[in-house]
Formats: sequence, structure tokens, C-alpha cells
Amino acid sequence: MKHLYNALNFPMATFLYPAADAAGSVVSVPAEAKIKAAVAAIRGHDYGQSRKPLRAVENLINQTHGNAKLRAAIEEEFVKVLESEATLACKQFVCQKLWIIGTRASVPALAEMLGSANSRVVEAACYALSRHPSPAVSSALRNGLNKSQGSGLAAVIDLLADRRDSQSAGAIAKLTRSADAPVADAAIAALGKIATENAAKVLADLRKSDSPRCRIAANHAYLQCAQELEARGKFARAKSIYERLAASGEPEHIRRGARIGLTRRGGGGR
Amino acid sequence: MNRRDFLRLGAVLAAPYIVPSSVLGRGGAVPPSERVTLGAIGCGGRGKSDLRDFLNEKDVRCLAVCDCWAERRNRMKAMVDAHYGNKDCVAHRFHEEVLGRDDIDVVLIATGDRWHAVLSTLAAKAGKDIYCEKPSTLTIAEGRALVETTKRYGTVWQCGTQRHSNDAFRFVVELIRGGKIGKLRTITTGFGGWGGNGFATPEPVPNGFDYDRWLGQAPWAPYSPVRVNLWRNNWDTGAGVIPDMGAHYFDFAQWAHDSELTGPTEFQGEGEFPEDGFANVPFTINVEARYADGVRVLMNSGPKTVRFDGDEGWIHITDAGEITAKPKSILEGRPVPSVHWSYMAGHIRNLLDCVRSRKLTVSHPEIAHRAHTIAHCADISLRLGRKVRWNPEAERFVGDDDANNMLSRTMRPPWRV
Repeated sequence: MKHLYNALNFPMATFLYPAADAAGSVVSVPAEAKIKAAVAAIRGHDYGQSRKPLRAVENLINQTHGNAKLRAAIEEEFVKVLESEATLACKQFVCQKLWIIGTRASVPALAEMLGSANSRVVEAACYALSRHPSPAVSSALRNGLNKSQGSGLAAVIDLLADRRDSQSAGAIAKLTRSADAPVADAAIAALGKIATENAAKVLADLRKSDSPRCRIAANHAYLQCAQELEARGKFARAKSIYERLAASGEPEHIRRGARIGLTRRGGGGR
Repeated sequence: MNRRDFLRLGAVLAAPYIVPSSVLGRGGAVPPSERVTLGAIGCGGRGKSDLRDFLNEKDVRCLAVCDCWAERRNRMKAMVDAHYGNKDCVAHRFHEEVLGRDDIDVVLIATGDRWHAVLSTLAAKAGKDIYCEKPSTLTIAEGRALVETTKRYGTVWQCGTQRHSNDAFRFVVELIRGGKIGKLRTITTGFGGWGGNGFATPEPVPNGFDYDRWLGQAPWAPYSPVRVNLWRNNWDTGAGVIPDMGAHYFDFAQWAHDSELTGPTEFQGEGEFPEDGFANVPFTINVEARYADGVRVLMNSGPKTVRFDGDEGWIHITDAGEITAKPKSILEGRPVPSVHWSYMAGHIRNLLDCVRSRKLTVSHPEIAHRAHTIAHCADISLRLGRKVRWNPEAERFVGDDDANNMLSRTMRPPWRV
């Protein structure tokens, strides 16, 4: 309770984000030197310490919206941090900012992090790459399948799945039989989201696995695969999966899902 | 998903081929057809309050409670046991144990925000129906995934936006939809005060607390009492004030505006963020959202109320359910209900009825997702410090890469939606 009491009595100093004008243009433009100094000030940041230096960087990011040159300068400094011996807390912060403003320029540094033996570093890199549209990201993540392990590898698989990266389906299919159960679970779930023809075939095979855990995961992924195919307009293929699941001896809610699928336009309605 | 798709789903869900597992007598349960069996995940203050309301329903039987805090789950088990006068309720440490039980039909999810969509996904995959506290998502993509998952499994899912089953709030909606204030122009929402801060100094994890499980999908960080006690005030673990209360107010606003399956197209405003400390969410807000039809939604940090202004008058409702209007004639001709926001029975009853009928709940996933999307768009506008434009059909920001990057974020494995 003592801690909570202290927390609630923390001075309520606040900062008002600088607002852009009606046209969205920058109110004040920081110099590149200011950017370097601000990013250098966060390198030693660790958990529980003052966030004021982090706030200064956040403000620079917002103030440089629309200014490609200064944004590039910020990203360049961020890359230096990622390539340094900066703390995990600092790298997590930088990755959360790159999540918003990252470009192709930071992909090599983030790709390097995917090979870290520390899964927390890999997870931070994946956070930064979450929505990054560059094809270079997908390529880096595919390479990450060979470099990461454990929880970090699962994070890479999850991200490739969320990106619906069809080119990784083959490599992920091999990981469905990983001895590391969380990795295998991630790989099976990923195939349901990626939903290529090959992914569907692998899932169909996994439904016959001797492992109950594998069979259950494969059934869920197979159902999701059908839903994904339906969303992509591949109604006949979706229907064939729904029919298999509806007729199977699987749990009621799996068959229920399949029957629902069949009654939509992807199934019996067509 | 458009309205037609959802109605089609509703028709499918209404098909009478699904019955709760206990009704089938599975797992050794006695099959009184009117009974719904419950597992409660999350035994903090809100979970305890929700569970009390569930226990008041005579056709509910709570079989299990679950929490990563030993002390909390044991306290909640004691509450359930005292209610039934036996020792039958099982206290589980892991949600997998609850979701793996064949004798449980419905789960109550009242955990921290970061767990709501993840647990809803896992529960749907386990064949459970769900009552999920708000905010149900941390990102817009989580919301879309939640909609697709519940659609995939035919899950009956109710968001904990209980004002949707409150006669006072429904009365206001009926007046507005009935044209009593003329054409609706502005909806003003007051979010009340928000605060709490400190430094999240690392400390050893206390005995009896599964901290890694508590952290869930959030980026790893060491245990700190400040982090755990003030989790709502950091983006890693919570959603902050706008989704927390906006889940209610935007659900209500969209209901009155008859725009439950879409949303505003512009967001702009200012937020006051803590200068230092663990908290990094806005403590005060002043945001304006605008629908394509010109109707505005104003968000501020004033008292918790909602006011609807139209061409011919206004209606105001407090969180206590007190309704006023101008001209006063708007409220004449019918008894004016006054029902406090904390009234839960109607919302729980709607869920239980839908578990049997397989119909959509009043706060079904798409409605909740759209209401939460307003909150997330407002937060993204504040975090970026600029106006953002939103396409509710495509569910993308218009011409804003930074904002679109914030639609989703990677979760810490093994948690995913």
C-alpha cells in the first residue's frame, strides 16, 4: 500500500503536446543537432527512471511530422542506439517509436536484432516491425526464422502470420513439428492466417497427428484458413474445408463454426 | 463487415442446434436446462463486482474463478462458496484450466485491458460464450480480429458496456431517434478525472503472484508495484481514459446516432500528458470527432455525462442516470426513468438469453469494436499531436502512414489474437 500511496501522491506535472496548425504543418522545427543530443540522452535509460528524456524524443517526433529530412535524422540516431550496447529499456523505447515512424532505413538494424539470443530483444524488434509495409521487412522476418529461437522465434512467426506472408509458408510449415511446443503452436496458427494452398494441405495433414495438442491447434487453424480463403473470394476451397470440419468428429464448437461458414456465401449458399 | 453481413450472422447464430454443455450433461454436470455454468477470470475489484451480479441470477452457477494472484482468487472462491453454502467453486491459477473444463458454458473476463481480446479469442476457441469487460481491445486490429474470431466460432459475446441495457440510457436513445431534439448536431461526452503516477522502480516479485502471466501480451518489463497498481496509465498494459470510458459513451453515442456499425471520419484535439513518471496516457482531453454527416462528438475531461444537442433542443444524462432536457416538453408524456450506470442485471440477462437463443447480444463484437475504434482513433490523434482522417469502411487512416502503423502492435508470445 505504501507504494500505491506514493504513486498517487506523485506531483501531477503535465506537458501539453504541441498542436499542429490546421494544415498539419510543423509548429517548430528542431535542428539536427538537437535531435542527436536528445537521442543520445536516452541511451542509458532504464526501468523506473525519469521519462523526461524519452518525452523530449517523443516531442521531436511529433514536431517533425511531414519533414522527411529530420525524420530521417531521428531514425539514423535510433539505428545507432539499436546497434549500440544501450539498455533493453532504451531499445524497447526506440522500437516503440520506430513502430510509428520506421522506414526501410532501420530495417537492417532491426533484422540484426532478430538474431539475438535474448528473446526480449527479438520481441522489441518485432514490435518495431509490426506494421512496416516495406518488402524488406518480410524478407528480414523470413531470415529471422533461421536465426531466432524460443519465444523470439514465436514472435517472428506471429508477425509473419499477421502480415499474411505467403512466401514464408514453407518455412513455417517445417516449424509446425518443432519440439518447442510454443513455436509449433505459433507455426500452426500462422498457417491458418497465411492460408495458402500449401498451408491448407499441411494443416489437413496435421489434423491426423498423433499429438492431441497438435490436432486441436490444426483444427482451429484449418477453420481460420477457410475463413481467410472465403475473405479472399476463394469460396469453393473454403467450402471444401468447412464441409470436412462440419462432418468430422471434432468438438461441437468447431463443427458449429464450419456450419456457420457453410451458410455464408462462401459455403452452402453458393 | 456491413449491417447485412451481421444480420446474416445473427440468423445463423439463431439456429437452434447449439446448447450449453451442461445442458447436455457433459463433464458430470446435472442437466437442468435452465442453468448456465460460469467461470470468472480476473478476480480484482471489477471482476468481483461483476461476479456478484452474475450470482444474483438464479439460472447461473459459478463453478470456477481464476487469477494470477493467489490471494485474489482464493478470496473470490470464498465469496462464491459463501453464496452457495458449499466448497465447490474451484480456484484456478491458469485460465487454460478454466477454458479446458467441459462443464463451463460462459466465461466472465474481467482482467486487465491487455488480456481482454486475447482471452476472448482463447475462450471462443474453447467453445465458451463470453462476457468481456471493457475496454475490450488495445488496438483497432485487435477489435477486428475479435469480430472475426467470434464470427468464426458463433460465439455469443457481450461487451461490458452495461449502459446499453439501462432503461435511462435507452430512453434517451429513443427520444433522439424519435426526433425529439430535431436533427442531431453534437454529442458531448465528459470523461471525468484521470490520474495516478509514480516511478516504476523494479522490485522482487511477491510470493503468490504470477507476474509474467499478469503482464500477458505487454512488452516485457520488470515487476514494480507502480506498474501493477497503475497499469491503466501506461500504453503497454492499459488503454487509458478514452477507451476506458469511451467504450461506454461511444457505444451510447453511436446507438443514439444510429451509426453503430460505422464511425466518425475526422479526429482532432489536445491531451495533457504527464511530464514524467510511469504514466504516459493523457490525463485530460479535449477532442473533437466528426461524422461524414457533420455530427460532432466532443470529448472532454468534465463530469461523467453525455449531452445531445439538436436543432430543436437538447437532452443531458449523467452517469447516475438523471435526465434533463430543454425544452422540458421533450420529457413529457412518458415516465422518465432514472437508472444508475452501475445497474448490471439487464445486461447480464441479455447475455444469458442470447446464450440460449444464439442471437447477437445488444453489445455484440461489431458494435463494441466500432465504439472502441472511436476511442483508439482519438488516442492516436493525441499521441501524434495532429488531426487524423479515418475511413470507417476500409478501417484505415487516410494519407497518414504513422497513424496506420498504430493500427496493431506485436504481442509478446505466446499470446495472440
